[in-house]
Amino acid sequence: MRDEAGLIRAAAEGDESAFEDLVLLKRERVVRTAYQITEDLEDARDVAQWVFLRLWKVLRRFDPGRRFDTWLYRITVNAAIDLLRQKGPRDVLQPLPETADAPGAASPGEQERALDLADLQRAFFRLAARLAPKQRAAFVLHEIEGLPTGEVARALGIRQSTVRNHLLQARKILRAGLEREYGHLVPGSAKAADPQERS
Amino acid sequence: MSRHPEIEGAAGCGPRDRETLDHVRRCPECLRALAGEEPSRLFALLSSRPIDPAILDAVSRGVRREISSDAAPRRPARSRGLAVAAAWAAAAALAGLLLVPPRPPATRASVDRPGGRAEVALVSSPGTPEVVDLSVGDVQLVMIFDREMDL
Repeated sequence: MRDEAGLIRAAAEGDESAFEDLVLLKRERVVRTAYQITEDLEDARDVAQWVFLRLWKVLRRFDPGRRFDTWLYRITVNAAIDLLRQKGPRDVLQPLPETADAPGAASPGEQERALDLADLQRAFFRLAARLAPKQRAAFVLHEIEGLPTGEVARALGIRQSTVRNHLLQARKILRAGLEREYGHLVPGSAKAADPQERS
Repeated sequence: MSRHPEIEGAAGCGPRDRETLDHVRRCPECLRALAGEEPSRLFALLSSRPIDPAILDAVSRGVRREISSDAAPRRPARSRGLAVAAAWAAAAALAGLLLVPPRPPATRASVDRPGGRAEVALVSSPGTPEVVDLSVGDVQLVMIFDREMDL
């Protein structure tokens, strides 16, 4: 497989096989980002598919001087937020289906102590529903996808100071919810020490 | 799992990898370090959960299929239902226009009377509703007769 810049260049010139490789390279993060916003895997799949088809149409306009991932995140987040708005109030949550653990999985003893990601995902969906769409998108891009605030600002088309403000508000809401409703997930909290208190 | 990776790389921003996040998830010491000051940073661990490969393959398959058929990209799911509904509504409206028989020419009568000429026209076809347009000089009176009309 060619390197990313080579794939982007070739795909922009209409090379379908290069574009397929590019999809292969980026599809997981596009689906994951869309999923964290739409809360539904089927929706996330549809968003991802739409994003890549859109990308195929507009890729020749991509400026190689800019970061490709930021551009991709921008298209993804906009499509996911559009879908989220169409869905209206969210009341049905669909956690990620169980998948096999990665190589090097923990022993049963370690597994007991490990943070349950399905539990964490449910908590995130429930608490993130209290965030405004842009706050949520900023949090997903920065905290889950690991983008620096400057990249988040470019992906969301807003100022960096606004991103910082969104993150501040999002953390405040999520922190309060975690401590109040999901104390068992937070290490060191009283509820984490006493699993009987789990709700 | 004795080594403790750099936690700063595991959350907030910066490079991260699944192996590091996986370690943090399983290591109480690292978990405490991650969530110590800011519990919401725990959500960074969500990026370490793999997506079902069947979903990812479906994305690739769908993209490949659409590209080879060279179709214009369609907006994702929810709007598709609305688009289909709108298309059906448009088709129904068009069918209505094509199937409704053409309106017969208006039935007209005129009377010469002192002060002007009176024109009476039955604009609609007989049936329900009937519209009668009565013009006397500069005054126009439109009457609608409809048994179904609820005033």
